[in-house]
Amino acid sequence: MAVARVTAAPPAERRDVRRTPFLYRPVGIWTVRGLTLAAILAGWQLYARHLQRALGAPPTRVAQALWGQVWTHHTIYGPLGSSMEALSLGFLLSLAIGIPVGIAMGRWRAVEHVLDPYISFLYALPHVAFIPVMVFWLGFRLEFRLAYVVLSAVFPVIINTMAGVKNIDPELLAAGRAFCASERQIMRGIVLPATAPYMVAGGRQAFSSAWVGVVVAEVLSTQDGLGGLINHYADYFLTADMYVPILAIMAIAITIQNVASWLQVRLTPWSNTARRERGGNGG
Amino acid sequence: MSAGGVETAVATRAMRGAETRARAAARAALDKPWVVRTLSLVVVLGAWQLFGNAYSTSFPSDIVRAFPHEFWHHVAPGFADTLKGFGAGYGVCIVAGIPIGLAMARSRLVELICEPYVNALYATPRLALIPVLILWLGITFEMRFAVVVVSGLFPIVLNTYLGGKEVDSNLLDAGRAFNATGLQALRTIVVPASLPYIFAGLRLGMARSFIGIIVAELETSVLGIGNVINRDVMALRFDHMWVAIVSLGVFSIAVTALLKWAERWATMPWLRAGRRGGLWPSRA
Repeated sequence: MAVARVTAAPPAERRDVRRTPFLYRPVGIWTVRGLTLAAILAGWQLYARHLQRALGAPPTRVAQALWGQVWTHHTIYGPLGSSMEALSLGFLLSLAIGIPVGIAMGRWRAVEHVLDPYISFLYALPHVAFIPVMVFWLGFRLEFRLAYVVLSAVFPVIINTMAGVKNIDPELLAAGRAFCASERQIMRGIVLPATAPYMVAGGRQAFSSAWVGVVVAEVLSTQDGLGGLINHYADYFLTADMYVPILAIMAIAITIQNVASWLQVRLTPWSNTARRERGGNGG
Repeated sequence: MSAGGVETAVATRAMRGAETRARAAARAALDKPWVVRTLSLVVVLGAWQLFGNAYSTSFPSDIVRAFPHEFWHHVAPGFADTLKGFGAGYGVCIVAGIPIGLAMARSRLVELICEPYVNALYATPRLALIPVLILWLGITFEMRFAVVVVSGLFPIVLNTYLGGKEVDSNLLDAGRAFNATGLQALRTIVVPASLPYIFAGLRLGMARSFIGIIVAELETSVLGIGNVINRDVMALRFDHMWVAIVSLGVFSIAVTALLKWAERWATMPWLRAGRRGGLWPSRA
């Protein structure tokens, strides 16, 4: 122990002696970031002055539109709620479908061979190609958006869960069988815990894909949700207002990504991704 | 089952033997992947043929019958249009994305300037920008080109950047000890070490660009394979739509396989030299 402490000490000392370069200190980092943001906003403001009002809106007018939609007219909440409904229901449905299918495909080879032609075809295909026919089958209602969200989010769950089940240490399964565990006991005691990190990783991917699915479905075919709101304002050439739902979509996507990676670290702290992410945040 | 062994007659034992043999044969058949896959395809296509409806799903037989004519007269020209926009946009993504990513990995200033925006744009569904791009660029080639660039650029930049950050610092130290110039270090250490990441980015970027251009075509409906699909659905020609979708799927699988092959060729040169007479060009 003592030896380890002695060998570990010098790098820390050296770091104290040499001053951290400007660009690595918080002051420097935030100076550069602030200057960049200011330059972008100023450039946008100056450039937008030369554009027609229908084509571009300066940041000041976007901010006004944001204020109006959020505080004065409250017009953003309805579409926001509708999008969130599609996102959460679609994501839960993808998990509810993807995890059992993935476990079955990983556990029984016959199931895998029955399903894998369709899954690899649908996974490789850009599934937006199905949107026109899905609109025809399901209409513009919530069912359509849910179906498209599931189509875009279910495959990461299936594929990750299947990979997890296949990667279970065979000795664990052999030990379970040697102790006469029933299929159900093997499932609960070995398969599910061993697969959990993969399921969480798949769920994380699916969360982001589900949001993309919601937005694509809304932009392409409905007047519902934030995507529909973009279309609505674009139709009336209310450009400044159009940026508000776009910014909201971006903010939600970034939130989803951060929440999902935080959840992954919390739910499966022993998985490799979680460990790497923690290391990345710390250093 | 074993408890009943005491009173079993010879006949029942023989029956049971036959039964287990049949079961074993069934199990052996189930273990053969292609038998199961073919069976499953036959069942699904058969059910489709029986229960399909000409005005909402079409039939497999109709799709096969429509395939040759429809493919050469509508799908192939549509694909040509799509590939024009896709190729130009994806080319720009590669040519711009890799240098930006490398610059971000190598220069702290560029990293600080670009990183928040690259991360944010990587995470957002960029297809929400399509209405804006239509407003700015119209529904022409430029718009589809821009959609492809916006969709494909950020995965490539981000992956190249992450790969460049992961380069083993011992290698860089060794390079510095031998007085390597910045360019030499970049060419011989940073780029080869981050190639696996770059290829992962290229694959992801390609998938996203392709989705992007198809969404753009579905949204604007003037040219390309997305427009072909849209028109087929509006005309209730579902057999024609399936021809387009199946071609799209086969194309995606082929391109993914090609990129995987290129990745192995570039990142595992020892496989090239080792396998004579195979697909791998030998350097010896």
